[in-house]
Amino acid sequence: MASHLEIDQFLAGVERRAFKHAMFALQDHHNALDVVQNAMLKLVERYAGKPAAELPLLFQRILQNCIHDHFRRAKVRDFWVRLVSPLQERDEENPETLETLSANLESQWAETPEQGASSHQHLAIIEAALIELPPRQREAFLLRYWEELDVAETAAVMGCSEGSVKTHCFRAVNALAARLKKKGITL
Amino acid sequence: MNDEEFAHSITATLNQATRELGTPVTSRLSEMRRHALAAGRDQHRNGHGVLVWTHDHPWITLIMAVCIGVAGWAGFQRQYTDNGEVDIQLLTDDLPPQAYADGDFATWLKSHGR
Repeated sequence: MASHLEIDQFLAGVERRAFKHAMFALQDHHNALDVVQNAMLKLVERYAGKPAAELPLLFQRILQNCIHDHFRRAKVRDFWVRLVSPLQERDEENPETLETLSANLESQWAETPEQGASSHQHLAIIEAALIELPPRQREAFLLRYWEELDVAETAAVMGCSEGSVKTHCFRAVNALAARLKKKGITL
Repeated sequence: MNDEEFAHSITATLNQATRELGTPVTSRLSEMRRHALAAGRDQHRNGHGVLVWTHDHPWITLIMAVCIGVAGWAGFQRQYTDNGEVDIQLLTDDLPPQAYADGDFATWLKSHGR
């Protein structure tokens, strides 16, 4: 059974990456924080009795479930809002797509002339490339390479086969490489 | 550079980005962590473990509730049947039912060993 200190240390080590995970998926600062908070609460309230070694896998599964739940709730909410809202046509005139969001992210740093702007530009381009990936590819890439889960653990978190994880990761790496090459970035 | 090396170069850049998160976000994350741990301690202290368990295992809880309900209903039925048999014996006996409520009659039965 994990002690409170162990859970505290684990969460302290993972919370920033969890926030970035949620940001890549949700593209909203407040929603990302909400999702991370829900994941933390669920881990502590329901799985505090588990051994400390199991916490990383459990937390990633909870976090991904919280992100999916957020999308499900948003989908239901959007359905009812669109059904009753007279502003539907106005919303459709200015759709905020992933392309515009990632372009905004890149331009946020592209205009910085200060020293070190180059690395920030690289980061912004990498983050934009990650945002543009299909969600399952991004999820597989981040879990496999950032969270350093093995293929079986990534498959368990994503609820798919190990073969699917390998395919998602392969495609994600290729897509990222192509995108960065197009922007003239070499790592 | 192979796929693994490329991926790790990307994640190294992402790690740098997490280190450079603004203070508002990092302090909010710390606050959320403390809140979650406090909620866990409160739950443990207040003994809400059974409620959490029932929430996590709704089907087992439902089956247990149904079993308890069926057992209670069967017990009630058996008691009702036993009472009915006693009532029938009382009504078909030569002795009037009022005699059983009579304290003197009970004393007389004990004293005569009946």
